[in-house]
Amino acid sequence: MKKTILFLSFIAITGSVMAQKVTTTSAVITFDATTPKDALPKAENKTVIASLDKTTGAILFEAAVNNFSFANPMMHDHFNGEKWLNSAVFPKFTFTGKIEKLSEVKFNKNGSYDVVVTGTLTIKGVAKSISAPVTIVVKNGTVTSSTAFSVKVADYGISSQYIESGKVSSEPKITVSAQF
Amino acid sequence: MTQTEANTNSGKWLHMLCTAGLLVSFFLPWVLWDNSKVSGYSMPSGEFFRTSETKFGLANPFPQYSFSLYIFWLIPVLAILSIGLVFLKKRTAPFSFIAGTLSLTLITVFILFTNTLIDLGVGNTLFSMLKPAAYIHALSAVGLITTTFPVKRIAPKIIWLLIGPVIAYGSYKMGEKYIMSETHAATENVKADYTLNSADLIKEFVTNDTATNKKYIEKILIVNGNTSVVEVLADSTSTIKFEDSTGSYAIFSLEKNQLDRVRIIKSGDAVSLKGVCSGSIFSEILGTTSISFKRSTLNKK
Repeated sequence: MKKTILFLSFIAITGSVMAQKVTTTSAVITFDATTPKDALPKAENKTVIASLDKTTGAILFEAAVNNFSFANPMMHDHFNGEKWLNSAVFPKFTFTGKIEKLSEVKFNKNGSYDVVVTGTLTIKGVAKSISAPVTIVVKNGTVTSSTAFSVKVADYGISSQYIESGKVSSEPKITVSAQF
Repeated sequence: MTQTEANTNSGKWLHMLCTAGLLVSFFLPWVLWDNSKVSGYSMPSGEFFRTSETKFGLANPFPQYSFSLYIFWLIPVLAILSIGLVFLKKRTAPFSFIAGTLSLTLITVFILFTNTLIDLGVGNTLFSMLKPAAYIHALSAVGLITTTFPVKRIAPKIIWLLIGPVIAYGSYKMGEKYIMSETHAATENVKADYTLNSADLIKEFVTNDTATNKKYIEKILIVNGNTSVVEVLADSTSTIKFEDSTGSYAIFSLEKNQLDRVRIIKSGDAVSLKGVCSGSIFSEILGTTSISFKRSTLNKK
């Protein structure tokens, strides 16, 4: 009898812990490097993998570089080319971070919470620490997170005359949204 | 020998020198693009666009007009003809004019294209990428046009000097504008490269991702299978997923215009999707292979 109770307790605890980690394969990342001189360099990826651990506040993202969809075919080729993101060698962007002041977020209660997420963004094999404001909305058990921030492409070893001539922004705006 | 005859003779020798310079330099490297030497003859031989496509992803934007590039073979042909005409003491116009103009046209295209590569981050400055043969060719072309005889008036020579670079510049800028305003063809209107079922596709990627990515990346695929997840996103776009028993999956991102058709699809339904394959990544988060497709459309239900 004791063994059965112990076993059921184990199952319950494991299930509870498992439920704290939620994932999606349809998070969206947009990339906007447009400038007054050029409105073309912008793209979005709608099949981004993300996970959120409600217990630890850990947030992870993985985005296939080649799945950023541009309106212009040449922009897509340049974006993935060796001199820019080199998707053949570095096929994904990753982010590993944590929600600061996690206790302020009540995942079991409807509400909107403005938090800061700090972590490491890896692009083209270069890992850099970043920090961004994130809005977390909890509604009927569904958690939605969204953020907008900029990255300096030079920090990731990317440089080009297009950037120097003002046709491509040196600090593209990134937006991320995920529903878990 | 009178002064006029002496001038005429030296003019002919100068013309010969320019013709020889034009001929030889045509076959020598003009530019160095990221360790690839490209010569003048590379344009009519097709090597120019082969190099630009394989190394920098810049294919000939108008492949249907590739045959027109053969005109640049006239440069060595007319140069040889001009040398012969000088020996025969015949007039070299208009052959020298045409050879010189074609050369200046070609040089202009090389310069403009090299600048485009610099914009892409290939090389630093135009001067560091141009090789001596390019300067020799340009100078020879100018010399060839200005010493063409028996034309003595300066006006036609100026026109022949300018017409090539002006046409080349105008055409290049028009081509550039065309490329910048180009959009992807609607996936539903493009013939699929491969048709296969979802289980086979996922298995192929899981078994050998390197070879399979090489095979399918940027290709249009029709994939048939039973959906595992259908999701409508906040902006009315949607994703449809096929999954295997291990959790590895293929996911298609569909545009807003597909929404009405997507709404009636439920998990487990048999569907046929057509999309551009973006390849696979191994997800550390999920511990599975993720194959993604962009610009997808429902093929049929």
